[in-house]
Amino acid sequence: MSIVIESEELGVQGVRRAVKRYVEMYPEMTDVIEMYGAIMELQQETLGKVTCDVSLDAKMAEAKLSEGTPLIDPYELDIDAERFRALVFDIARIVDEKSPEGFPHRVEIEKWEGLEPGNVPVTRDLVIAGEELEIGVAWESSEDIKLVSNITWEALAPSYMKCGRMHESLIEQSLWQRGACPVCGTRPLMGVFRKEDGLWLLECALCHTRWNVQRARCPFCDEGEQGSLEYLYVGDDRSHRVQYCSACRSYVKTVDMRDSDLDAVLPLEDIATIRLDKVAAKEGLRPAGSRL
Amino acid sequence: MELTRRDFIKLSGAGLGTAAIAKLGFTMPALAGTEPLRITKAKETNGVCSFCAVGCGTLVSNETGEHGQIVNVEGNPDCAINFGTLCSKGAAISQKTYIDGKPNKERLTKPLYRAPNSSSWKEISWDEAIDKIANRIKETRDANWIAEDDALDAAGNPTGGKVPALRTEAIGALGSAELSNEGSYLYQKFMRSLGVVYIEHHARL
Ligand code: SF4
Ligand SMILES: [Zn+2]
Ligand SMILES: [Zn+2]
Repeated sequence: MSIVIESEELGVQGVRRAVKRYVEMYPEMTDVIEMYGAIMELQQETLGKVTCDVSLDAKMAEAKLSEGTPLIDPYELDIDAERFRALVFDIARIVDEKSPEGFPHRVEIEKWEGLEPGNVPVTRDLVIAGEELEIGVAWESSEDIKLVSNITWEALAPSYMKCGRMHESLIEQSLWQRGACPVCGTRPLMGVFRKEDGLWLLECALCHTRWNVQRARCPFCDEGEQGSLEYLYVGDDRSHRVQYCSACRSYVKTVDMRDSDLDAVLPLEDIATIRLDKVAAKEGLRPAGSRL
Repeated sequence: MELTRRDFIKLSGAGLGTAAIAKLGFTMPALAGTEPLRITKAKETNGVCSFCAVGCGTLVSNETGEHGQIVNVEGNPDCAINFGTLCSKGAAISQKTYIDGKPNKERLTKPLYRAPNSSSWKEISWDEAIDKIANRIKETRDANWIAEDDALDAAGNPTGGKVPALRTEAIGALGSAELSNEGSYLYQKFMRSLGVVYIEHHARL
């Protein structure tokens, strides 16, 4: 059966509505949801301005997916250096203003040479590969350096999202069914059981493309056929699950939208369900695709 | 850039979501990790609804562990027969095993035998049940075996000769909606090998 999945356009207004909805559902998380919502608004604005210079037709897409290759090489994508740099500054400002501890290096980051146009590809490669960034000695804590990496990731996202939105309609889902994004090869942020029929979709942590995987098998390892996929939930809330594999110990949180009127906005859902990450960590599980 | 299920292409960076929340000093009960939480672990298994010949795909959730109860049955969205749906019979199929969390007393788990003229059933072993069935088939077939028929000419009139028939009309076969195509094929093949000619199927939808 042929399945093609296309995202609904969120836009700045969509983000605002979603933030309002999630704050109502999770009032104890208002601050963090609002901070992340402000970042998402910026990403949506930028999404309308960036371009994706990859051009593929249905045939090329089919050939790539059939051989197990995502549509774009994430290390080759052209990044608009000026917009990227501006977005890093803006996100750093939001984090500084809207988080309890602020972001102490907001001024320094404006002088960081990793954002100079010639260095952007290297910075990009380090950030998406999860390698430590090289930043001057003044930045002593590796936690702070990680935070810069997290901010940079969010600023890269619109370029990848653009490619995702442009190409997702070319993806015949039955050709893929893997644990990484068919557009950019990144691990999933979270999953959703689709409202209409319960189809399991994962959403890319970078380009936010959704793709389909089979319900009762682990998409992350070759033991999937052997019934290694299990799930856990807290209390009676079976609609928020940790789907995990007893063989490879990977997990991905998944929200069941079948009883809901509106679609889940997974970056916010991810934050709202942080309790499940704590539970998963206690169980010795690791987010799918993360480093061991 | 080959990507297999196991081998991600080393993209393990992260955004500002859950990874950075604690670093930024946000506090919330979920982060403290001190709440008492009741955790249930379960597992989904692919199944096929056995109530009719549509054969809808199911996903059956069991609590994990040796005596894990069925906690949910739903239509399998990956199944091209029902795309995640189930009719009311299929949706209630777990009641074959459990009703309101207790084992269904009506469910047969062993063969039962009611002797001729008896009003009660008694449990027998599978070996005994299969032997009895085999014996009955053999007796009925032997007693009602049609070895040959009259030969007919093109107009349908007896020629006075004989042709082999090799059948019994005393046994009928009723297939089951719970059989797959392959199971049904084997079933009719077996019946034909016995010389049974009344072969039906209850694939009524
Ligand atoms: S139509 Fe209903 S009874 Fe028939 S297989 Fe599907 S769920 Fe079962
Ligand atoms: Zn992606
Ligand atoms: Zn696995």
